[in-house]
Amino acid sequence: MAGKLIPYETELDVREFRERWIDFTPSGVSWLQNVLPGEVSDAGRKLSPLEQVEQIFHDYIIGRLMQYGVDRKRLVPDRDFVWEFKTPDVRVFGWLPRERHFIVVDGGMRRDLKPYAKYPPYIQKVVTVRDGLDLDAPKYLEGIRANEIC
Amino acid sequence: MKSVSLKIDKRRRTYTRLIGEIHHALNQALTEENEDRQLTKAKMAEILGCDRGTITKLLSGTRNMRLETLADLAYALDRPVEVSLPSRRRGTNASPPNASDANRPVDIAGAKKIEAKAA
Repeated sequence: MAGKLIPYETELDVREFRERWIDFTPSGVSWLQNVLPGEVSDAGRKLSPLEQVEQIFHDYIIGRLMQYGVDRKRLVPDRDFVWEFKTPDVRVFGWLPRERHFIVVDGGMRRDLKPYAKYPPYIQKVVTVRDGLDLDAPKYLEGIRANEIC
Repeated sequence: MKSVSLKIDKRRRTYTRLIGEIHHALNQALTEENEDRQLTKAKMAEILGCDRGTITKLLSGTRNMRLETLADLAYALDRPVEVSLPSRRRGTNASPPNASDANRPVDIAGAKKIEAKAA
């Protein structure tokens, strides 16, 4: 597991610039490659779950404001500093090792995660994966308040 | 360099980018109007004669939106809507200064491309 982070690439238009980075752990790649493409929105939304995730990753990378509570949220317990990226149908779990950098560990459909009681295994998975990675300390960014850009 | 991406065909991506632009513009506008004159989702709902939850769903992308609805939200924000289709070929500089991997905050290792294609 040590050192195994895979960078995520997005298509940038000629007028767009990379401002942030996203990396995936092997478990995150497995979800992205094997699970997400088969998911469908059960609410008749215009964008598929995959398209929603592609769009929010693109928005993050080009430096758009990720609104707290809408696009991203820090999960309870706060002490773990685990974050989720949110789309209408999908939740993406990971953490911020540095500013402008998000590492994805896993994802799931919002409908499968309600009620909130189903979140803890995902939170623990992020913590476990993070603890097992050979990253320089500190391994995660603390102290990001709700409305700070990350 | 090993990397992962989500591939969506260009025609479809044009649509998803449009949705993203609208979502971003609306939320950015509300953030600014809130800072300037304390406009809230509740107030927007009052202006449009709907409930706050509807505004929340529209701004978050949870609910699909028609052009007329976009116009209503712009009205509630007291903002005009501008549409632009800039040329990718006219008036652009060569090689935009994308941040290089040398600026990556965390070192990574690896090298082969993995793609997950849209269903």
